[in-house]
Amino acid sequence: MTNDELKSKLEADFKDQVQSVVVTAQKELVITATVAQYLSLCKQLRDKSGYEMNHLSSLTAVDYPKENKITVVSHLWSYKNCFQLTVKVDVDRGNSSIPTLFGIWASANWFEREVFDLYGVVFEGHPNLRRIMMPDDYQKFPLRKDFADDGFIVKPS
Amino acid sequence: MTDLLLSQVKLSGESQFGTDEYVVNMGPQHPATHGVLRLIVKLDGETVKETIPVLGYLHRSIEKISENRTYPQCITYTDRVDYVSAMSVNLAFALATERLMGIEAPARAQWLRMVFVELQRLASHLLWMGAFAGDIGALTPFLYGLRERERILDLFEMTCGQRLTYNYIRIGGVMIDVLPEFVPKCRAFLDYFEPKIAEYEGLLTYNPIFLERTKGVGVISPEVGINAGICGPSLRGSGVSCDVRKQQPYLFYDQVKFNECLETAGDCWSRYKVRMNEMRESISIIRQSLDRLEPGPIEAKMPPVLKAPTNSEIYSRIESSRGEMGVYLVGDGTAKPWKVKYRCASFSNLYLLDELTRGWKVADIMAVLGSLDMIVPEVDR
Repeated sequence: MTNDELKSKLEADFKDQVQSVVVTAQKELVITATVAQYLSLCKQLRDKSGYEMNHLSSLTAVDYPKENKITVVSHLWSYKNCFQLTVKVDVDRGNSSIPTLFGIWASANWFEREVFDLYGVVFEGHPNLRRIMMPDDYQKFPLRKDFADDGFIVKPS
Repeated sequence: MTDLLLSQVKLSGESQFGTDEYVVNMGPQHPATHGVLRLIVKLDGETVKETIPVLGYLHRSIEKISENRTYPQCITYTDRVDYVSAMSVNLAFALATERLMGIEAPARAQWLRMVFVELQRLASHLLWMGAFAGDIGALTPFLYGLRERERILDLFEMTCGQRLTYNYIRIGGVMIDVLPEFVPKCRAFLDYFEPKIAEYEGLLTYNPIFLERTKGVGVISPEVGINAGICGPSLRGSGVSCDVRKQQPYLFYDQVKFNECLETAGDCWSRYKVRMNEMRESISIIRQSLDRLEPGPIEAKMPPVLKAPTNSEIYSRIESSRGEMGVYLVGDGTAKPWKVKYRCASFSNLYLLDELTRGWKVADIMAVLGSLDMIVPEVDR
């Protein structure tokens, strides 16, 4: 199935449950959803026949300070049907909160801890939301674009 | 500073041996761990009740640094993401960037990449075999493994001058063409190496002590493995077909014949067996790639400054020596990536360690950890 066919199938199956489905210039299928739609959308993507996205390949975030948002990006893969999907959800930069995917894919546990550690996004319902890379008493979120680097990062001229 | 983590470990006070439960720190400088990984282990006698991996001792913020470097500069840092299998990470980043910018590397470069990535897989699996056997007390295979790995490193050194961090696979091609004597030397090595795998297997595979330590230990069921994000040879040991080279072919993997190695038991021994069989498949892939190697350019024509399109993004996956390696790039129209994310196999494989070791003896932690082929720089990045 090509990405364009998948796109129309997704639009038909999840009409009111997504904001948009696009095929990017790099030929990747990207779904955008709201925080409210996020959890049930992911659950259906895992369980619904024809999708069965049983592998959460990666979960990360991208910071956009100008638009005052952080986008949480999950990359899903189906071992059965062999296709890739990207799910994007925007959260507010100041008060970021989003449900955890731990109940759907256990692998989300550490991915979400990493995003919490480096971006400060709070995953509600996460069983163990602690810092993972930085020390437990660390106060900053290093991968945010406005992170004051304390002089550690030397920018090449 | 007080140790926040140790103070959080709660002891139940119940023990089946009538002794107190206690907490042991393994690492971060344990001589038998693969890098500076720290494990907090809660023990009842010799039985493991809980294993808490503590990450971050090797965190070098490679993703943050990459945001301040141009795309070609980032390749240097990819070597350090997984220094035992640096070629694979070079390739993962180069492929992602090429897809992001619409660059197509010429055929000779692609075949050379396949030769080097598979040689790297051999080198990585050899080191893993030695370290895994060493972890569970058999020190001899380590010497055997390093003996052959040395010859692979000589081939790498002959081509790009480096033995560990190559920076060889570049965006749009490879750094430099191979020397005329590379191909015969590589073939001679493969002929020399092929019978050696049987020698390693003679040392380990049906060795009663090895079987005792690995058979039935750390069993991952297919469902749990998939759900917990286990990938690569570790998941193939549970019989799940998950090879990116087969499922989402890149380079010319769809043009060579090779088998995906699967085992069904899901224990440490199966994971060992998958990797041993994979070495044989890699030899076959390298031979086929050398056969198809024809003269031609080794680098695509590219603009002097590489810029990604505005609002572009890509998630590109390859099968590295340790499993699925993903690179997520977001481009913003400048010469530097807006966001770089490395999805590393070791990170997601390590997650299951706690569940796999509960109820087993303390020495089994090393067997399970070794069989997952975990490497700390990739976990911490």
